[in-house]
Amino acid sequence: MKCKDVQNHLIDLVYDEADPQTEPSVREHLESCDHCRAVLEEMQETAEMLSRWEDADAPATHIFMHEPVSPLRSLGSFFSGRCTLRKLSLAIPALLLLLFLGLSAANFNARFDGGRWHISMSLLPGPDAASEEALIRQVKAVHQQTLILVAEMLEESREADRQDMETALARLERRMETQRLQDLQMVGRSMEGLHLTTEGRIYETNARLNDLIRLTGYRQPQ
Amino acid sequence: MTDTALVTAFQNGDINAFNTLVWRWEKRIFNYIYRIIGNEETARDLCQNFFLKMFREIKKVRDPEKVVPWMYRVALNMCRDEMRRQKKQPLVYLDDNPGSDQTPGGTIRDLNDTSSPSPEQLAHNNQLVAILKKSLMAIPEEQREIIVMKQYQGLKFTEIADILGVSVNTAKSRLYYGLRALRKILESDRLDKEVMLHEM
Repeated sequence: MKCKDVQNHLIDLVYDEADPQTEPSVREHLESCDHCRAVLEEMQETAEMLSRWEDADAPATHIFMHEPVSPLRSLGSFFSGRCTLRKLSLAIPALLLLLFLGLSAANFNARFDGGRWHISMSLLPGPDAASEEALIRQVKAVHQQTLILVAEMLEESREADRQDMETALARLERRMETQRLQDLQMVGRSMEGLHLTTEGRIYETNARLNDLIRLTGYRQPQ
Repeated sequence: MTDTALVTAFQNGDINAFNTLVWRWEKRIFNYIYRIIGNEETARDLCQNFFLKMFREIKKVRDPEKVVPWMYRVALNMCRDEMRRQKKQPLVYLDDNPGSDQTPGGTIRDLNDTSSPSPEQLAHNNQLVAILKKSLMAIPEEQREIIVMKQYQGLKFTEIADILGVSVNTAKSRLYYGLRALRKILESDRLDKEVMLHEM
């Protein structure tokens, strides 16, 4: 065993926590190593010296008692402490819940109508009974106006479609007329070309026939 | 009644179980904090805060079997926080034991002086405690913590390792270097150990 390996075992020896399996080899090393033996003695002396510092008496005996805490006080202590993430995570949902409940309670409405209870609770304030009919009339008027507006919009839309269609048809007609004229001109030019070609061939054929007649000395019978 | 049983009882609403725990642990925790912090006044405040914190938070301890390491860990963290705070805002402490260390520069040369004005055993004890306290405060914090846990609290290395969250070998190694560092400081203060031990 080397001096470095013995280091932690020396501590075990100082505090009587030596492992029975390794202790003999450590003791054996100590017998042969003056340095480690001296270190062990020094540490034992230091530990002995430290043990001279005895425990002081505790300053006072604390006694804890159950003390009922009022809800207001606990709420006060909750808000008086440091602002922590945990507190925020509790406080924000609690405030939102309170706000929700407050608004709902403020807009709570219950009435008995037709043998049945009608209970409503909402975040937004609801209409009172007096203004309900006026509101219905308003809604109907708005509904009527909306229908008229929609009909007008439909008519305008149809008219616009019709105009678009007519414009498109006129444009198509013009395009077809132009195309027809172009086609006729092309046919005329083709026919003219064909006529010229045919005429040229006839003239050429006549010339060749005349040459042939001249060569053969053919004379038309009288 | 074991600590575990007391914790379980307190978690079930028995306040007297907590008072018993306090009565049982107050002295140990106070001395634990005192030796790590090195100042009695601060240790007293921290000890009080420790039990208040324990009262509030011990219900969070899921395994009552592990309450003792939990207590040491909480107290240790409070000590560390306090020391960190002191490093930022250093405080000048008055000596806990006036007259216990009158030598200039904090040495202990007068310890063996036969013409010392306080030759009684008590005075000598006070001097020794002052020297040890000063020496302990001079070594690194992590070594001091282990010396206090082992030497004064008598914890096993496995328990210390559990509290500190380190391996057993690391704990032993820190203690080894801590004791050696302490020895060097004591020797550098010219502490005549033979005379000292003889006089004790």
